[in-house]
Amino acid sequence: MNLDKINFKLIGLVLIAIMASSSFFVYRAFVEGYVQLDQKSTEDSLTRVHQSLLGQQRFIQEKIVDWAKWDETAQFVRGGNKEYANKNLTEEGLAALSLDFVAILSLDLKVIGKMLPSGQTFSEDMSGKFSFLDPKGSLISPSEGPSSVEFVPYGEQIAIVTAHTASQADGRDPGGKVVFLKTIGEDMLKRISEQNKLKVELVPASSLPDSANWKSLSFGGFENKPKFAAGFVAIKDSHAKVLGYLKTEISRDVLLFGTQTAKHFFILMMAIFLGLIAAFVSFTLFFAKAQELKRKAKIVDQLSEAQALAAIGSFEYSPETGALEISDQTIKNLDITNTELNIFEAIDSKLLPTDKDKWQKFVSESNASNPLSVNDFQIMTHEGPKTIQVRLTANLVGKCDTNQGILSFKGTVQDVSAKVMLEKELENQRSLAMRNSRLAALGEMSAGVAHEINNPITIIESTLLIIQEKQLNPEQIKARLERIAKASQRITKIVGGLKKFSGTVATTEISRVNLAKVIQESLLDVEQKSVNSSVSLSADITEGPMVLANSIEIEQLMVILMNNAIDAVKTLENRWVKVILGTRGDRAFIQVQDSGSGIPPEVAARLFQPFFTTKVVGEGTGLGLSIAKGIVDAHHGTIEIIDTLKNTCFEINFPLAQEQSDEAA
Amino acid sequence: MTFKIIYLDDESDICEDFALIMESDSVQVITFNSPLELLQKIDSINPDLIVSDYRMPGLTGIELAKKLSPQLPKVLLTGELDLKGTSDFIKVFQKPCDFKALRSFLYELEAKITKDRAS
Repeated sequence: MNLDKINFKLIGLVLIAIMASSSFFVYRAFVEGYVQLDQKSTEDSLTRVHQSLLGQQRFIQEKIVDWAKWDETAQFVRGGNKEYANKNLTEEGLAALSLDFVAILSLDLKVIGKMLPSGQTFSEDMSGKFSFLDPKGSLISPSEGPSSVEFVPYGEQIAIVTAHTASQADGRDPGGKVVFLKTIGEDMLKRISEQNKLKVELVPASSLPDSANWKSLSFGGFENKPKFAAGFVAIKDSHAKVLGYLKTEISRDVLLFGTQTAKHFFILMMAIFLGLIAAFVSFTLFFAKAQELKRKAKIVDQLSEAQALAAIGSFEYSPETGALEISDQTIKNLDITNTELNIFEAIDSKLLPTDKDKWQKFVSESNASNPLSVNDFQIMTHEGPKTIQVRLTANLVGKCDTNQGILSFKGTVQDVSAKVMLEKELENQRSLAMRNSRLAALGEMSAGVAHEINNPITIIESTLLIIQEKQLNPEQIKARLERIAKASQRITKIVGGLKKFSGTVATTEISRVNLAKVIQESLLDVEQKSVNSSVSLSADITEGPMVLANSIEIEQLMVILMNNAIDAVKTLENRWVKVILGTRGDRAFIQVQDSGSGIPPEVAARLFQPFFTTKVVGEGTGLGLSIAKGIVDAHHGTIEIIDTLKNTCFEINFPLAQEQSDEAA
Repeated sequence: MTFKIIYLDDESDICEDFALIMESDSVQVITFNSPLELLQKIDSINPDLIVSDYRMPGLTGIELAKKLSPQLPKVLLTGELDLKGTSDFIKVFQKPCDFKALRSFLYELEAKITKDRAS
């Protein structure tokens, strides 16, 4: 799973939304709501109400009370509040009443949805808000809201009187004072009933039996929680008469309310459940993301550590957008501070002047068709000069369809100063080792050289003594002098050969070298040795091959190979050494063959190791072929044993120098 | 009775000159260019003294000395610069050598050996 693609912000917002709506439903359900899920208790209540109303009806029917018994009746009808009955209604209200008509109302509780704010008196402009709801929005409850309402004829109008309860006097009806809201006319009543969707049937008071005697119309019977039924009683003088009652039945709305609450509760539960799931999922994801981030952070740490260890910094740069990602190690390697810079300019600014052109070329040649460029550059840092190795790859990013993308570079900057210094030191050591080995070879040769030189001198000495002592004729003297001259030439030649090996350290000079010429010279070097060893030395040389080389080293190489060949065959019956020079394609090859029968594989494997020798103690140092290998390597050549021939054959291979108009060197 | 000196050197010019310089009425010089050839023929010659070069094809002067009778006096004449293990030789001369000094030495030796034999 790719955690990067998860929008945690979105998940958070969804979670907040779920929680907020849950809270809303909780609020609705537990604070605003009238939670009543228990249908059985609802039915019980309704049954009680029904029974109560039936009882009320029965009571009134049975006892057609006379006005003297009003208190009793009123108490029953209004919930037994004597204060209410006696004082408020009788003193302030009833005294002025004259019954003109009776309103028969049937309440549709479904539409009782508005409330009269607590403490406010009813006014005409508030008529739309008139309702039988308590301030909390619940349906009127005897313990909380108006326990009854009376429509009282008042002159030409009808007064709506509510009993607004403030305290709980008894368990059944808290009672309260009568609030004389306002007297309203017929139109107003209609409006109120319409606005509240009350079914109002206006019956002229005169149509009621003994209408002149009816003082008041009251309906009540609000009983406990389900407040949806009412009984009516007409009061006339000292008589009250039940005019009718509303059927007690379970209002759909009550059930609906319960159902809605259940629905709200269900939604709430669902919301909590979904919230929990969302919380769980997001926590899991968050945890996984945290792990992932931790792991990535660790990898980043490791990468950064690795970069520091290897002194390799990395960067990514797009010149078109200027976007630059750069690692700390790069900043350190380049000794720069401003990472907002164009990295190419940053490097350019640190370069030694001698490397600036090289850098410009390097950058300009790095493009999408040139996948990887690598080069070393010298920069100046506050610690002194440094060598950095820059690797650069260029990629076309985006706009694949048009094949014209933005050129983006990725690269590394490695501090290779230490490596370069080490290489230089190694090169110095190698050069020193070469020189030492050359001296060693010289030392090895010197004994033989002394012998070679001392012999001709001895001949000169002996000849001189003979000329002095013997009575020789001119012919004989001439012959003796020629012998001296010959001996002298021998010495000259040997000393001449030695000069090449006593070459100074500055033998690393490379020039165009005519291989044929160098081989001819080297043949002269070993001529005496081959004569002494009775080894026939021959050469098959193609004139012309030119190589870029150090001629002294090539000559040394040839002497080593030919000396080895002579040593190898000098005890054999058939003794010859042959040197061949030719070209093959763009390379020159030199073969040194001898009459030996090849080199055993176990020897061949160690042939180029220093101090490995098959010669008897005292004759070889074991350095020859390792020097030869070093020389060949330094000239980008190869040296190998050709084992397909009957005889021993070493082949050296050098790249030919490119043609030059002037035959230099 | 002549005193037989064998001179061994792979340089034939030196052999020739050595013979010319050293031969006298009482001294005969027999020269060889190869130690191997010498070893084949020495028994028939029965020399009184041998003078040998060091560096030669096949055998060095020192190696040769080991193969010869310890009683035979041996002198080494060498161009080598630094040579060890020359205990088989009664004298080592360096090339290039003072032939007069060498001749004096050999003649004295001849006289001494001849005298020793006579007594």
